[in-house]
Amino acid sequence: MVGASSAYRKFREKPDPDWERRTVLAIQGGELEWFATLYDAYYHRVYNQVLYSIGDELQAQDLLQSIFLKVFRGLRYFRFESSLSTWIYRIARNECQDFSRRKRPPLVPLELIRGRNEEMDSRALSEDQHAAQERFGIIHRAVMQLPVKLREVVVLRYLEDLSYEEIANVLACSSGTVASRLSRALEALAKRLCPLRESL
Amino acid sequence: MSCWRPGLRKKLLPYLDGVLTPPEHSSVEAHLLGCVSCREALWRIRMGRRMAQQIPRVSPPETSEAAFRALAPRVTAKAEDRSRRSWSWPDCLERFATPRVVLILAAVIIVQLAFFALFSRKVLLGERSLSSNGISYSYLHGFRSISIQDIRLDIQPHIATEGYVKDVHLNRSEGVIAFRLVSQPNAMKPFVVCEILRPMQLTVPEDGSHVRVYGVSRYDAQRNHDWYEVNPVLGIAQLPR
Repeated sequence: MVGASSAYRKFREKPDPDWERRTVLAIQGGELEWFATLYDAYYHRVYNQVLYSIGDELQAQDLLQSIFLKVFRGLRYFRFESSLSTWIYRIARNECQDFSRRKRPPLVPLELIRGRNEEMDSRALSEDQHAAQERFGIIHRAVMQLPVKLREVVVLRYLEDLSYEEIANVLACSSGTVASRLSRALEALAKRLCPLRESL
Repeated sequence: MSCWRPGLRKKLLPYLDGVLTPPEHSSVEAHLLGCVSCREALWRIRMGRRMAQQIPRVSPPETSEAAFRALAPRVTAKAEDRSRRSWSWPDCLERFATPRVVLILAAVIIVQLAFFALFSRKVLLGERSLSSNGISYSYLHGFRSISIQDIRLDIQPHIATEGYVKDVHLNRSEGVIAFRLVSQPNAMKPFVVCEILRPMQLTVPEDGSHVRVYGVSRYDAQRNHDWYEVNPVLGIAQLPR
């Protein structure tokens, strides 16, 4: 896992196709330790995509493992016809859809019972930190109230920084559809978060 | 007030993001000048975008190192399993059953089924006895379909004609089975005489049955004859009554 965090940091700033290519070719050549680097680079991104899609931390964590197992299995046949990130997001999206279709009994997220990690932190928060946390909580809840189709475009666009074309690739639809869903999602968010607008 | 150009509504966000072409950009801008509803929508989208840009990134409960430690044994097992059976069935399926290949295979199967349905439709719909006669349908396929009354106009020897069987007659000495084929069940005319010669192993049709007869058409001008014949009959197909 040497250098994994720096790879991730670099990745968060700007996805590097060369790095992607070298990593994939190394994994395809049997150098399994590179998969750990790839895992690290995408871990947070895919986790957020999954979490915002299914809304449950524990399930998201489980799902993440099966997604990366599929990524590993599929990497052998990856031919760079799309970007690696688009391909991984597409696998994650399909897994989330399959998960939702299976219709497991709804779980009560643990955080509702015990509070989020941040809330459990014994150190006192400053007033600004507290206000910011509250604001994030409100935005998070507003996003989670959007229908899944609108939520996924918002997350891919504003959290993962994908372009319209990349999102269209992940969702297997046209860029026009992406723009239209995004507009609807943003209008809905604006309506829900209207009282917050002064503080934003 | 609603917008009279709803198609432009979905261009408002790309307009804000600056990803429209210059003509599209100008067209949206010109529209906004005169459309209150779209200006309001644009305001809402801009507000929504500001909020969406602050969507919090949630940290996973585990670090990626810890999470990978849990996954690593499964990945290693998968890799070892893969090296053991690199050309097993599931492996080949995984490799070659891409959506494109599956689509192409499905298209080929559909085309083959369509051909099968087209060429064997008649067999499926009632020509049950055809195969029992030992004659392949493809062999008889080139025979020209013609009605009994039009046989006199025919210039092609190999024909297929439909009608009802009357007066089945067996001439043992000559080894010929003959019957009349009439166009209507209760009519005697127009008719054509059909003759099954000895070497042909055909099932003799029942009197009154509805059949299609395949064979060679000719005119019989012998004394007391003066009719058209299908002679020899090469195939008989039972039809629904």
